[in-house]
Amino acid sequence: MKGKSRGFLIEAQITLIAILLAFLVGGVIIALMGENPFRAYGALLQGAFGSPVALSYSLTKAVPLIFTGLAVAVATRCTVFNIGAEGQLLMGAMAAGLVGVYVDLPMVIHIPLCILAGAAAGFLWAGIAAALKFARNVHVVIATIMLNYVATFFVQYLVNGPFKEENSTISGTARIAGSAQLPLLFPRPMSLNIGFILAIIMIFVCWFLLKKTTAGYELRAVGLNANASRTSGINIKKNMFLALLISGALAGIGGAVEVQGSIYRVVDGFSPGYGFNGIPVAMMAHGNPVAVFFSAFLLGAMRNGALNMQIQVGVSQDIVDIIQGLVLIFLGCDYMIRYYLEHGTKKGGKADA
Amino acid sequence: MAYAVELRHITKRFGQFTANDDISFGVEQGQIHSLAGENGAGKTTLMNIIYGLYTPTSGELLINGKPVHFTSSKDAIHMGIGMVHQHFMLVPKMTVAENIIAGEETGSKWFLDRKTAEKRIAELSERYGMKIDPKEKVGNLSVTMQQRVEILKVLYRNAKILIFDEPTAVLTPQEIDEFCEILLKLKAQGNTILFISHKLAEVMKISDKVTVIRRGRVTGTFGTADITSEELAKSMVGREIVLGGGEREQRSDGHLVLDIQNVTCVKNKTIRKIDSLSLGVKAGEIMGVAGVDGNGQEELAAMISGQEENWTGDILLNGKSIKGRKIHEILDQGLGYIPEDRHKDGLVLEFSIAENMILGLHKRQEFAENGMILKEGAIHDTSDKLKEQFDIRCTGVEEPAASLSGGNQQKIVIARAVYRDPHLILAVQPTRGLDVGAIEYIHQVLVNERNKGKAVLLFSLELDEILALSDRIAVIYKGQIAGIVDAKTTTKEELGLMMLGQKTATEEVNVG
Repeated sequence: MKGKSRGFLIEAQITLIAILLAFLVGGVIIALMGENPFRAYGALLQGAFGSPVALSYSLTKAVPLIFTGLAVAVATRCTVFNIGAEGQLLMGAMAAGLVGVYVDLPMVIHIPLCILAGAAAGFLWAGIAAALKFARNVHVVIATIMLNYVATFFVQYLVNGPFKEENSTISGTARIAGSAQLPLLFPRPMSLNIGFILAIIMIFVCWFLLKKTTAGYELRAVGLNANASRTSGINIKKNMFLALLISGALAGIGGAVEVQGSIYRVVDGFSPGYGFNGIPVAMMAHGNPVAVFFSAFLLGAMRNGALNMQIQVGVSQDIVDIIQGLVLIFLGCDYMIRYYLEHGTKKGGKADA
Repeated sequence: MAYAVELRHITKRFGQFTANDDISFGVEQGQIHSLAGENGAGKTTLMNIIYGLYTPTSGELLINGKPVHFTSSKDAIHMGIGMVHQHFMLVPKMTVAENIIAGEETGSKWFLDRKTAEKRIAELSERYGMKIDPKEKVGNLSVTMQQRVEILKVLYRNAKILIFDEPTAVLTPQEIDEFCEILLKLKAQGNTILFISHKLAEVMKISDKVTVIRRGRVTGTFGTADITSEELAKSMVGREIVLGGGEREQRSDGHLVLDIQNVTCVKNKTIRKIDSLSLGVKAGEIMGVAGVDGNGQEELAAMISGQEENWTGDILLNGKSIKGRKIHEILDQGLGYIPEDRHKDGLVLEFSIAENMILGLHKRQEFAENGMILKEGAIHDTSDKLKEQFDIRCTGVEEPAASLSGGNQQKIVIARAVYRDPHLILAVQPTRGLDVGAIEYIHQVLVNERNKGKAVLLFSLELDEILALSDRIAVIYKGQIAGIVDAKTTTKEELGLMMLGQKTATEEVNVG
């Protein structure tokens, strides 16, 4: 127990240090642009956490990132690099949107049906990559990346073509039925909806799956040492496919929740890269489902606060992308940070090799 | 004459833990001096002190009679000390010469002078008979050759005192012989060698003197001419050591548990790694497979354990064919498998001891509700019992396997195999890299299982181990069984000849 919790602490420390360094360098960049970084970050913080309403928007922005973060995290735990969460999220959103627009059912059935449709679409979309791997040994990373483009253009076609709302100027489907919309948790102007609760439940489900079930045990074993797992009779391929499919379903649910809870229709280009941002979310969390909540919340809050920063201080909200990129770069230096954490204080015990 | 290296009352503490306690001994110029002790006895800490990686808490270190205070390994290198690490520190994509000169580049600030470096390395290689081509990429070299590159790296820096940290742990017996020759050449050229090992045979064979440490203290420094290996083992462990697993019950003829019938395994389309091989192992016997490395042992073990699927012929385990079966089906059919490489194939090092104990057993009723939800309580309790039963030294079964010593890690692998209550135990190099105390224990476990009526198929490259443990010995040569002999009546010489394909056993023997 002791060894494990210590390892976890060090991982958490590394992430925090990486985030701090990213904000530090981001601050320097803001200063170079001739703005006051303290004012900019102040406005960012205020926009993200300054009022209950601001906080509710930060949490709302975190919801799709929680789903895609979980998607990437679960796959990564089994050494499957699912770069296709974006495509799976788009397909999930499209499926949920169609069920929401064209099916008429009471709310208690309609909402879960839309979410299931989203999960199924994400599952199947990831399944294409799995099938390509199985039948033709196509690398999962390549297949999932390419399928992102296919999904993007396919959805673009659908919302501009067959499923475009008639007599409308926007490229998008019609509004989904009220019975498919996720209820708000608090009255307006607060923004949080039931999707947030669903995200929290999913975090718990993923944690339970990985930690408490034989399926999760196998996923982790394969991820940490595929050879030993195979020698002990665990089917490596089956587990890697399973991880990819679960990952796809999670991203698909993310798409469904975004459509049902926030935008109420599928619009061309509605995702600002939720699927891609799932990768930094999962990386910051080191694949830990519970930690995904915090990293998704951080990115969500940053996105939300960025708007306020742009309006108040005039620093472009794109700085958030820069900071996010910097976090990843510093996370990539984890060996160095780890080295200083473990050796930095010791004198004379310096390893030479 | 002054000692090349002399330690006077060296003590090293890490917090509460004393790794080295009042250590004093001297290494004479131009000698091979071994430092022997079990894993965790404090050998490596001591070497790191001599090499300047650690500073001692108290005590004095003298090099060539002069007291020194190293603050980093640079100081030690400056004094002519070099260290060949157990785990190589080489860049596979770079050439031998590039690896050797890294940090000591020849040429000007802008241009690397490869020629000069390569010439000097070739000379060094020549002088010690190492047969190294400085232009070859390190990644293309065998383990032995890579080790020689490590040695050259040290010699290139003009080291006269060479420290070897468990250099033979990664080598096969044949490679060890070659390695010993190089050591003797190094000695003949006037170098002083400090050799860390827990393998008694090598220590006895090549060193002039040996210092034994146990639990951080020196138990004695002996001339190897004045001590026997048994005395040395006793000095290391602190008690009498009995290898070979002790008491054996005589068993009447058991039934065939493993029946290998005329199997052939072809690799790369043409190479017959296993060639029409047949072999039977009975209940209640240990069948040792002896042979020079690379004669098909690896493939045979892989076939029996289901790792290798492309073969013809048939293998019956407990009367049922394993042909076409999945790995977990073969295991469930009654196989306990102890793979050769515990880090690669045996354990998930990041997992806890408990999680490792159930690897492959995790879907069993006793560990999982309907094969779905893990029963953490039961997993913990069973692991705890196995930990006690197999004497796995740890703070608790939640500790990660990575933090255990090699011997204790191997005990997890063996505990898991025995827990299956298998009909056949397939043990491949079960004591590789372990110290003598752990080897003794593992031998005992294997003989106990034999006495319980299990069949044991033992693969080992160490002839001494094969002879000590087996009831019958099958010699494998070029993918075929060259003969089967009774372990009680055969000799090392006979086995040696058979292993080289120069003699076949005239008759098959049965164990009565």
